[in-house]
Amino acid sequence: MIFPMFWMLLLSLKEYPERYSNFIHLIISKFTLLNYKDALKSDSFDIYFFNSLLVAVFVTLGNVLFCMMVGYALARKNFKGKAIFTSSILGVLIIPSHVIMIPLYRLMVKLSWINTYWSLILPWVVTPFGIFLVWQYLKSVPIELEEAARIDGASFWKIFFLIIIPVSRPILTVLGIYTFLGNWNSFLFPFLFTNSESYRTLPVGLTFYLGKQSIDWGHLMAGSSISALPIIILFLIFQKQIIKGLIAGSLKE
Amino acid sequence: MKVRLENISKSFEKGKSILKDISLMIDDGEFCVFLGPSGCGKTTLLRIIAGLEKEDTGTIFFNDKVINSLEPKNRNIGMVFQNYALYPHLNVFDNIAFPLKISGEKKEKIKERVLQISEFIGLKEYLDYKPKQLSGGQRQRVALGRAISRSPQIFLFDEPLSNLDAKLRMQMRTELYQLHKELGTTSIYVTHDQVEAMTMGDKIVVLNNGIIQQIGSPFEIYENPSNLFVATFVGNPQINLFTIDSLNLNDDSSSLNQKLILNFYESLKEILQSNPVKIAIRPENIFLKPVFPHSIFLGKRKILTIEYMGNETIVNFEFNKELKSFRTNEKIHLNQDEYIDIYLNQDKLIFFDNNNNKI
Repeated sequence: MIFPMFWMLLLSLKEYPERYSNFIHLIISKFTLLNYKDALKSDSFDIYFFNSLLVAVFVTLGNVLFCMMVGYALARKNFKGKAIFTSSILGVLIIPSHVIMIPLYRLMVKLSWINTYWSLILPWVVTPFGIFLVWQYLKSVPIELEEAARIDGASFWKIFFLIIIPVSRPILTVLGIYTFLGNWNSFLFPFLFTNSESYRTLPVGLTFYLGKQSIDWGHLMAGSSISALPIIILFLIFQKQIIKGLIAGSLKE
Repeated sequence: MKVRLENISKSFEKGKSILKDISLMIDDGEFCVFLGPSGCGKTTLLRIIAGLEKEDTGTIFFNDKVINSLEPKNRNIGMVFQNYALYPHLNVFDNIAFPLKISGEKKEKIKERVLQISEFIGLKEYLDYKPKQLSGGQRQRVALGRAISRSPQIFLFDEPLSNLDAKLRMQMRTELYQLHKELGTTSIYVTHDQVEAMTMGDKIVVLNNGIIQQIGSPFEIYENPSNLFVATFVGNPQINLFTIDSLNLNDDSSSLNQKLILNFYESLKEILQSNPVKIAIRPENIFLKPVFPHSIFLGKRKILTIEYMGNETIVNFEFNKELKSFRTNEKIHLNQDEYIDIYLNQDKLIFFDNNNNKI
């Protein structure tokens, strides 16, 4: 697991790494930050980075809020058509994303959302996976917590924001990180939905380092290293919560 | 605050009836216990009083005021749940302060009140602790503290001690009772544990299948059960039952029936005329010797098991292939499979008709 990361970092720190024919030469050759400078200086890198960040942040916020709301409704409320609604969510879960590629593209064209942030954000702000995750978690949260809060005088929204959301923090952290990572790395749909430089995200932009005739390995690896950085930082910060959230509900408190 | 229920009924979907026509009255400052086996509707009844569940029909009065349509938060109640229901992300201070914060009290006032309560429940040193750092008994105390923080007019307890171990349960029982005595607040307590009901309740409401079986003081419930269910549900070991029918078929010259006819004095003859079907007697009213003048000899019976408890001994013996038991605190030496004389104290017999009601 470490090796590809190491390899990426190593290549990114060398000038023209493809010139070295063997590993030892590559390692002992001069280290340089030139690739990083070039990558950061290139016209569109900052645009890609900004686009990626914007899209990932909004998709993550949307997922956390909306999946929480839908998941709560499914776990706690009874409404007409609930059975159909839940089974359709579960049904959507088994559809591979590639199957919806063309229909979704046509929908985006119809809405004239190609080359807009809308096409990068709105289709993903609520996902069946997120709903399912929150819904299952909330089922394990005792309903007495809400009843106690009702008796203590809290209104519905106060209960939702003061009790339910804080109690669900482990699962929301997992959902948030999972969504952020997925979006940050997402290539296929941003690639399909954008063709102008100003809306490209990082993974899409990076592919343009794969030139027509040759591959600029040094620059590609430097760009990849920078794009991997937020993920590594995120993981280091939330490591504990991720593990906790992943096993949430599987252990008796 | 007085609580009055009139004709409360409740069924869940699929037409399953949970409560049938419940009417009862709880006086101001009274400690009232709802006692019954699981599924009898006692918790549902408590939740209806709390407003967490909606009754199908019937009226709830708090001090002659109808409160059916009031939200739980406007009923001025405090509730303690079986699983404590503490807010896990808040520390002890914030848990107790939560109702006060919601009602918009001033910060200094909240602090003062929480400190006062934490002292009262003996958790002043634990204000910064999260619920999961506390033991079961401490958690239950925090739940109690939260319930009293708004100074409610009525306390509702939903099996609050059933998650605690036996020793802690006894200790908390005493503490709860003292709390009630100090605050003097009307309390309604749901339990399936007859010891809790007997030791804490001013008034016990025995429920079964959604119907009130009997309302009375612990003494009345135990000594004067109104029907067979109450008689058998309350008391450990269980009350001894004898069917008159089976006794009639018995050739044994010392059968209970013959003795009844021979020995009964005038007042009991009336009871016998109304055709009792079953006769019950508590284990402590059975003796090895004719201690009381109106004793009935049940013959020589074989001892099946002996349960020595230290302060008392429970002896199970065989009668008509059924297990009966008696309790004695005399230090006597008995052996298994030994045959012993059995005498019943005739004054303590309880008679039931064919509808299982007491005669």
